[in-house]
Amino acid sequence: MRYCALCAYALILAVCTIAPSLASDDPAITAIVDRDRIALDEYIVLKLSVEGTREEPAPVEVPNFTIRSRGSSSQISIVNGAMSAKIEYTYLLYPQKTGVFTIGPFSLKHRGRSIRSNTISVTVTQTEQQPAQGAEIFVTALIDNDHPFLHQHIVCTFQFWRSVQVANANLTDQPSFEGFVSEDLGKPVEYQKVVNGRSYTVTEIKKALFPVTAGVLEITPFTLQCDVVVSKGGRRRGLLQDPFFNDPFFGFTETAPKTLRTAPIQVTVRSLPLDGRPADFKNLVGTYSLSASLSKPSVAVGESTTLTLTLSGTGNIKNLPGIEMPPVDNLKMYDDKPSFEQKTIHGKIGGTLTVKKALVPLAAGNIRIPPVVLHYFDPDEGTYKQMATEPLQLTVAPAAAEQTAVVAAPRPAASVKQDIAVLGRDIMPIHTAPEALRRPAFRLRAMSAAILFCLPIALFAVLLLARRLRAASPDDARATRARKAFDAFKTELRALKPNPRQDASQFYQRASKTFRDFIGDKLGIPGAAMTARELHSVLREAGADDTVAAEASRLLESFDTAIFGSVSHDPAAMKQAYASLERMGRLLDRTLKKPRRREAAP
Amino acid sequence: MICPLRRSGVLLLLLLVSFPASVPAQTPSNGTDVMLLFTEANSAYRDGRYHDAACLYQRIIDAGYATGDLYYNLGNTFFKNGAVGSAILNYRKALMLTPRHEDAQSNLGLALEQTVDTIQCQDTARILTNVCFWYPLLNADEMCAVFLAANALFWILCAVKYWFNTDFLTITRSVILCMAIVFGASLGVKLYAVHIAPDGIVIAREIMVRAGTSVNDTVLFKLHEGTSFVWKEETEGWVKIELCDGKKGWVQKETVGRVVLS
Repeated sequence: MRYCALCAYALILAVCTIAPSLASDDPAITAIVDRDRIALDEYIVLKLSVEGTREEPAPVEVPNFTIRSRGSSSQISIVNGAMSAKIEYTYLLYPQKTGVFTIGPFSLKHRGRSIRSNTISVTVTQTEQQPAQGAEIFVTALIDNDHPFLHQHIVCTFQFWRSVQVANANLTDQPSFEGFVSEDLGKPVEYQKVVNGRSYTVTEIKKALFPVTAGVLEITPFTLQCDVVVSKGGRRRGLLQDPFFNDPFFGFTETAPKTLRTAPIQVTVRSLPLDGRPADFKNLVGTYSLSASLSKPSVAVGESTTLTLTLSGTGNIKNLPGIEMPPVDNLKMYDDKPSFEQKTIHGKIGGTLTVKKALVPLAAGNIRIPPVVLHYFDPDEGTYKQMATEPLQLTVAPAAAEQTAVVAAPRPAASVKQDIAVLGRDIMPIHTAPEALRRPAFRLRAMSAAILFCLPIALFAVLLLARRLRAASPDDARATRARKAFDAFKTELRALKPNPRQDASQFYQRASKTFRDFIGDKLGIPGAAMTARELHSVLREAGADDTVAAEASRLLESFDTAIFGSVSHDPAAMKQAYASLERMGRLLDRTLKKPRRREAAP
Repeated sequence: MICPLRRSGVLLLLLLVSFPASVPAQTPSNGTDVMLLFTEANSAYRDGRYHDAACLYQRIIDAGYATGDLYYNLGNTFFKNGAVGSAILNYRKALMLTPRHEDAQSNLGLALEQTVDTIQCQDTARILTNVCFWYPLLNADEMCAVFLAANALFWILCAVKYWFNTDFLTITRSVILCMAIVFGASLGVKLYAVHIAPDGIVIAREIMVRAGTSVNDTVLFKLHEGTSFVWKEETEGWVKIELCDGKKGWVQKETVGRVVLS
């Protein structure tokens, strides 16, 4: 236990002493707000996060806002062995007037240098709506523009106001937004608001809407269901008056279900004006900017450079299929897939559309890439506008000179690796060689396959039959007997293997019989009654040399002596006799390859 | 009631009877004429007259020159003409004849990327294809050749046993027997897939899969061009299909193509 406490203490000490030193390598200060669009009677929660240092930021001052500090919190985290320390300072900013304001940058002094935070733009509007006098719980839905142009971005805001405790709030029915393309505009937010001296908790959901049909459209009501928590019989609970005990779990309160519905909203969508409508207008409505850049302003013939066209702004940019460019002489263009990054800018949906085109010059010289022109409709001004990129110059060197230069130049120490850019996709070409008409060399018909399947089986059957027939003839019977003699001898020998409890006389009898049968089988003669003397002459006649014949004769004689004489039970002698028999069997099997002729048999 | 043994015998007989279908009738047409047609088809393709090229390639195939390259070229003409379903159908036929045709595999992949329907297939077929790696690499003829060679070798080794009976030969014989069984089974599966339950491809842009063989029957689901299915049976201009996720239904025959060689 004491050891564990010491370890914990050491760990805490290490964290406290090492963390600041480790973290101080790359300090940073970041500002974030909970909302970037508020009414005059609301407030913004500003959080300043300081990472990598324990220094405090300079006093926060934001023009046009009253600031209240809400304290700070610190956090130390160790992720994959890397330690980081973060201190978060929270402030409430109360606006003093309407308008668009920039919050920040906030600064921090660290080792003599000043570190600055990001800036945030916020919009303060007039108080939008006052709740009905005395209402404890209600919902509202409103739009920021009820006379938009076709494809113009509008915002529909749903708010759920309550000054009493509620449970199980659920938005059961949302409008279908028929005639609009709708998208969620950020996550639902919750904040406090004081109206007529009553404090409300407000939950707000915003939807970005793009009308796609001109005329009068209706946004159907939002429907919300919830349970309102009310005290049982209004009795006093004394010390238990704390809101914690308002949970129905404690039985002091009960819930009353309630269904709330917003009023339908009429939107009159105006068509885009026909006057001044450009021929290449692609229903792009909003506020945009367009820029172009080249990855390499000078290349050799056949090399590629990437032209990047960046369109950013707010509006229905997502629906733009791409940005087209007029053809340029001596320049091949390959389109890459456009990428789109969606962002919320000043409470509206927008983003950045990036279109990349690989340009491959076909001839040397200076190529002028003309401005890329795009038309859009500005709904604030109600006019069509044109935006164009700056013209670009591409310097193209001759291919041969480039190659010579590359050959002459020393090879760089390490080449820069790049992913292969897929410039286009197409099918492989047709095969036009006459070989395309050549049928496969190998083709089987069912009949030939069946024949080829059955043929080896039939041949094997014929072979088997022939062997059976041959085995039936006397000469072949002897040959078979001779061929199988050694196998039979080995089988007998395995059965004969001596053991200490075996009767000696019986062992020698069986050994003698096995040996005689083997000689008989091998030479195609009856061997059961063969004597040692006869064996010698038979073996000599069969081609065995005198030494082998004499040794075999002696072995058989020793068996006979053991059978008919008075031999004591000697396991060692039996073992030796067994080994001799085995060795002699192998020797004779090699020596006597062919059986004796039939006429030689008695 | 048919006993399982008898049923498998019937199936084997069906396979053997249907096997000749994989060998089309040999060249009824003059070779020079075919060569001229082929050159003309290639020119039409190069000139962008894809419909003419398709007709000419089809004529050559109908003349008995059903080669993998011709089906491949025919697939290309359909692809260029925007008929992705027919392109997939012909690439599949090309791969049926020449399974290791790299260009056909590549173009088939590109065509499949342009199909609309996504079907969650069971992994069993994919796992089996990965384990039995030879299955997609060999066509039915080649698989049959390997099976026959293994069969012949096995019986030869059985015969050799009477002269040289060694352990090595016994092991070799067992290995060859296993090989013959595996390739025989693979051949059976391939012939079944080719002749008894072939694949089909949707060649119309969008088709309704219905609960029965009438246009008044309930629409079960829709399929789009290029989607593959198993061709179960056909009757009176309607085809019963089954998707790899188990969905079944009936479609009109003219809207789909069967992956079998003409």
